[in-house]
Amino acid sequence: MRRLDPSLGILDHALATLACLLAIYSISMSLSNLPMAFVLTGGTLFAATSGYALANLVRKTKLVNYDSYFWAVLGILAVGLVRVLNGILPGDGFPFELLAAGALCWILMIGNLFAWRDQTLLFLSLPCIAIFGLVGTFDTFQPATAMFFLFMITIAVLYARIHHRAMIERAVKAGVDEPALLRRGPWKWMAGPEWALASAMTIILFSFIGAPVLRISLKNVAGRVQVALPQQTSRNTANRAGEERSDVRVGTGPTRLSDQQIFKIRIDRPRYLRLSAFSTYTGSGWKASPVTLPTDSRLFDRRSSELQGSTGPNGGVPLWTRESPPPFEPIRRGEVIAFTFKEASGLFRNIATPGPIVEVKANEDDFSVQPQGWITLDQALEDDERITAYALVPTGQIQDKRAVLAQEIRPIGDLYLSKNKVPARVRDFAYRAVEGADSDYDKADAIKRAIESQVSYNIKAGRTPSGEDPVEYFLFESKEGYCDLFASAMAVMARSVGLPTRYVTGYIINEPTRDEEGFFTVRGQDYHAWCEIYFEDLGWVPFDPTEGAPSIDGGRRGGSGDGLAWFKSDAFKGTVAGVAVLALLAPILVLFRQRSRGGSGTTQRTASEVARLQNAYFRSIERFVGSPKRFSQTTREFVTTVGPRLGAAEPIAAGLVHDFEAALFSQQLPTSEKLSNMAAKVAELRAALGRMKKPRP
Amino acid sequence: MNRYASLSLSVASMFFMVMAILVNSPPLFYMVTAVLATLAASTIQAWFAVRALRFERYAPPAVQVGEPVTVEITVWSERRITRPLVTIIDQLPNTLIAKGVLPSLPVAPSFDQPIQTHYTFRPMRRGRFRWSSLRIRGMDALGLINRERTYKTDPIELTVYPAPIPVSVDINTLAGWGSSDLDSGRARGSGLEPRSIREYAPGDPLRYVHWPSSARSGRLMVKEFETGSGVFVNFVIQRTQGTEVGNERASTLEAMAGHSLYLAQQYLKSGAGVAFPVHEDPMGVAAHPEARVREIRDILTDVQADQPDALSDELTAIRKKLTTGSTVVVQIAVQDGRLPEVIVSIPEVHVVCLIYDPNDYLDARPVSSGPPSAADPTYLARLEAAGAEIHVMPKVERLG
Repeated sequence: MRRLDPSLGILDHALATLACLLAIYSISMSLSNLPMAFVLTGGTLFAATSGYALANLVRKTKLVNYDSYFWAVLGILAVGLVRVLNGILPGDGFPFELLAAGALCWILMIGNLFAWRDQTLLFLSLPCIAIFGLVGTFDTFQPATAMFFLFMITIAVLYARIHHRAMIERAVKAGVDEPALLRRGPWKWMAGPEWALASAMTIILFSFIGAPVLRISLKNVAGRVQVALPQQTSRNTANRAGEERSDVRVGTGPTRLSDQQIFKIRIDRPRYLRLSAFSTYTGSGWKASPVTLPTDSRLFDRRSSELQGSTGPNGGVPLWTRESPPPFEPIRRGEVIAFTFKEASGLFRNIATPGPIVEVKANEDDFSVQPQGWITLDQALEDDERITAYALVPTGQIQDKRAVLAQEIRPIGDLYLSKNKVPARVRDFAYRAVEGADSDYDKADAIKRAIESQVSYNIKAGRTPSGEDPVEYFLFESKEGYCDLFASAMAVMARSVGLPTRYVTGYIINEPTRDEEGFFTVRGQDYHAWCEIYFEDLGWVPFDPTEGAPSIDGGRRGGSGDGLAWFKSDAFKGTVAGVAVLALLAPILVLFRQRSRGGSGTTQRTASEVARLQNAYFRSIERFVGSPKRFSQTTREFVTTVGPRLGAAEPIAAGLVHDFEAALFSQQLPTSEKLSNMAAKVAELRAALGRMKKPRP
Repeated sequence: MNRYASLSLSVASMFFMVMAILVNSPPLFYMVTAVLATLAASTIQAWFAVRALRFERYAPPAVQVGEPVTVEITVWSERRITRPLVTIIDQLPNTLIAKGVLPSLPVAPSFDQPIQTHYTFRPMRRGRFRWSSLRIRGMDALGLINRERTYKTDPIELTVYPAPIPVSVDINTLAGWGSSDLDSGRARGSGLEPRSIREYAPGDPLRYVHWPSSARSGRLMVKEFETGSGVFVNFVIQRTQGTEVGNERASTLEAMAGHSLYLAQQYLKSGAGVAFPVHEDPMGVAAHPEARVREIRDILTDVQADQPDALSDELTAIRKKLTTGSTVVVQIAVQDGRLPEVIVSIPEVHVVCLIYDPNDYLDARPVSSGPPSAADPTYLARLEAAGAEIHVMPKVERLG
């Protein structure tokens, strides 16, 4: 680091670009929009490369001074055209509410094209900080903190290099012809860019401890405001319900769910609220496989054609009725229940439902019905807006029902019964679990209990090693995991014994406390996965093996993952790891510094001790006589000047002059005995001066 | 720009903090801690950078106006700590008008060895200056936070002598003897035999050019004249309070000092006697021309427009010091109403008035309420009528 090239070059451009990429990637992933992340980071990389080439072209021209003007003009243009630009981004780009973040990303991209000087490079960090502020506020992208720390290190090095260049420019103005030589002279002892890097890393270590402390100390006043969340993250693929090719991986390692409010719901009792369902086990997760059916299949009907143009029994838009249930889930024995949403996140569009929706109390133009009956709102709910829907849920005893698909669904029955990719060990475990069970319900219940007794719930469970089947690894190796693995295990084991199952994601209501209007609050940490088994006449019935499973401390069900013991927390582990790394690095650094300064450790220590003694010697005399030693004075000259005022202490002071001269200028280093002797003399001098009355200056 | 970056980080930290508390977002708590810690670390580093330092400073004791002065500063850390670079800003006295101040070389003070830096400036005004403090500006390694601290040092003194300002003015130094131009040989070469020939210097009258020598050597050569030992020139400078007009670039008083030094050097070179009777006894001056020039330089260094007495009063006061037949060169910028009368009252000397028009030295257009210019034609006519030889001096654009 000491030999960092201070001239503006590719390293500076690379650092600035990296900082921008971290911010852009973070905001894109906060919105769970990986394609957009690729497009924006790719565009920024292209802009940065072009910008670097342009910077080299214009570096020696006057044009270089106009980079900020180009950036300002095009940046303003980008802000004006942000909606148009947003249209070209994949996955619908930024939601309307976050167009400002989109504008910042475009500004960064343009900035990379016109960052030709230090000032503009420096300015790039400002929109990045704003973007990270938004990412942190929404708290939907787990690695955002790590990204921010990396960003801080990057800009610390960039800032330090820019500052160093400013100092070099000043040195040149002061008449220095060869700035490179400054390191050997007046800048030898400088705390330069390497110090900035070390400081940044120390600060990050400090933040690992400081942030939780800060958060705990503000616990009583924090969290008064709920912020609209961007689209759900990859683990929340539920919000992409209706997308035919959506898929989800399971056993992806520790997670932390947000405690932000997603919506409030008024419903008869806490129920499983579906958002998305997956039919095909892939060996690493689940896939909502495309369905190939004859075009006249009624499974494609989104609403009953007989009800079109009519008004439902509750005054809403009717889709199906209890008497004519949806063909994709024909519940013959059920009831219609009402549920109402309010205070929903601005970006929460897909309605979580306890069963197939039969009526929606809203303007017909305000929502659309997706395949398999999912309802998507065309616009986010306003702050005070509510929406009520009616769903068909099964009633009556399940124990005497058979787990067979309804006639309507049988053409796609293979999807829900496929044992493909299910490991033999898991199948054997399922067979053993259902031994003695008579009915399908008993079989399902036996599998559920077998899982509950086999594994523990832990939201911080590690990821499945590469190449391992997540369910098999979960059941027989790690024996801990969270809802995705529980639901997957239940689904594949039930399939193994011939029950039609699917993997479902959505929300459960972990906090069954109603507000004054009877609404439950659903938060990010209520996001969940479970298994559903199809029972005749009843439709898809949830089976959740996490219910009876023991929990690992701090990794309980429905928790955000913040309740871990402090010594098990990532912060503590990170701090310990950081301190350990520093402890390892410190001796190496000290050794390196000593070697770079020349001389062995003994020489350094001796020289340092002589300097310390001499400093103490001067301090004692200066304090006594009341005037400092001049730089131009040698030790002997100084003592000769002030000697008459030292009185009885003068011989000691004069004697030490010879000792210091010998120690500093002779070829032989003073021995440790000699050093001790000098230290004693300095102490004697100090004591002698302390006994005497100070002379008048 | 670094200032804006620091400001932005401060604003960002406040925003992060407010949002972190409002929404209870763990990532924001980490972010705000990191940003706040960065700012705190930068502040501490900048604070330490300017503490526990000792200085020594050296500057040349005397220079001429406009000459570059290099001040060397030695800095020494009193603590064994590694610091970011610090910049030393000398606190020059307000009265010292300095131009072309080059920044000092930033340095990293060391405990083990004195580190030297320097800066350069050009003083634009005469005087004796003394100062004893300097300011240290330290920044953190990121360049975000700026801290300053003032240190007292041993006082340093700098004498700024006037620079001679070449001027071409043809003063009849023998007129005091009552001889006419014709008798004194002005038409024939000031009535004196050439002593030698030297190279032309700015300000030499063109009529003294020795053309044959110039033609031979290819350089412009002028004749030097042997002046009689009786030729004596006294300079009297108007230094009444409020009579100096001008700005940082040039003023009437600075022009007077520069001109009088140049003319004095020229007269001394040609063997004439020169005195500043207001400031010294003409009888006690040094005999050697070089020593005399140093004396004159010292006198002119201290001349300031701070006297309550008018020029005419000073002229009256020194009348006894003036030898008969000598020339008195009066340098005046602002009208002194009694001056014509005083000139009439001292017929034993030849009075030459060098007129400096204050309007030449004003930044803005002259205003009617300004000091009455001595270059006013009516006033000039009065002076001429009193027997003074009048020369309106050219404007001095810039000193040094």
